[in-house]
Amino acid sequence: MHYKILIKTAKYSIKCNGFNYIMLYAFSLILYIITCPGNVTLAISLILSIIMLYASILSDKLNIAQLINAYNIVGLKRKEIALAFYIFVNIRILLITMVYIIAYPNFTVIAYLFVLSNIFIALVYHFSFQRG
Amino acid sequence: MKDIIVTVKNLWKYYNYMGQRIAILKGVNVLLYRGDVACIYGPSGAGKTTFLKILAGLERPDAGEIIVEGYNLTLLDDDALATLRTTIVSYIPQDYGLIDDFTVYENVELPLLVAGIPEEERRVILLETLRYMGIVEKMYTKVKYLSGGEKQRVAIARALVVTPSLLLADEPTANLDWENAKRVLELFTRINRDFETTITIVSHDARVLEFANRRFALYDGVLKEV
Repeated sequence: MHYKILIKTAKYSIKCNGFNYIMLYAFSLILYIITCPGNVTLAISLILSIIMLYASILSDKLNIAQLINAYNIVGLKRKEIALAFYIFVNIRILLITMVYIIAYPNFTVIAYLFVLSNIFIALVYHFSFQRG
Repeated sequence: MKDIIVTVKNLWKYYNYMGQRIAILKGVNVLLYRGDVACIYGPSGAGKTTFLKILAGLERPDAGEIIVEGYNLTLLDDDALATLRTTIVSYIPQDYGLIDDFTVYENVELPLLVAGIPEEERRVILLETLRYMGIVEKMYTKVKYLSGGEKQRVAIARALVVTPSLLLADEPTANLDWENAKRVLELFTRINRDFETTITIVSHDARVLEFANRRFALYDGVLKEV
């Protein structure tokens, strides 16, 4: 797969509306973690982050469907389309991860966020997009 | 003797609807030769789009055989079918299948990126194709700002950029007024004349038939040449 397609996908993810929601959420998350430090805050913020990620994918559902459809028509293979989707969503996960690195640099929490959100996006891809 | 581009033998396709198995294509047989402009005419729900998607390798038949340029599509896996779409077959969906937030240039560039064409060569091919399609002045415009006719031209340019042997167009005139539709159909005729591309158009509009040299009717899953 040409790296330029991946870069285009990443740029497209940043330009879509859902990314703005994630940006807004990221700022409030920094404030939340810094002002109310504690295990409960972290647990709630992790759940909120997953919900916010879902909301951002949902708001860009049409854009993602358009992207997958276009890639399918021009002959991108299934695995490559899945990789493009993964990059589209992971740009947003990376932004939330950066928030944790800034506000609460704990490896376990970041690992939890990364694993949970990736399981989640795999489920979303399987149930929402690959089934058409 | 003309080359055979498409051979379809006894093609069947079923859909499950409300727990019932409904045949959408019933033993379709067809032979298309290089340079044919075929129009498949039929009412909505007759199975035209399904037939076209099967030819493009986007859907699989339940029975039968499809051979495109010597490749038996029923024997190929999904990856091989995807590769076929970057080389031999190009498909233009009814809704154009473009990315609205990409520019014309970026949309048309996609198949060349997938095919792994180097940047300089890519640019030359792209400019040539956009000039041929008469949309070179719009190449840095986002697709969402284009009219229906222009979007159709971009979709055709994206399909044409890999110089396919078989070009499949699903209802290319459905979203256009007749003046624009005529221009698009004349463009197909020009592409056919200049590149000897085999073109298959499906439409529910009988006026499209006059632009084709092979005319088919698809009613209730049965295809007949008329």
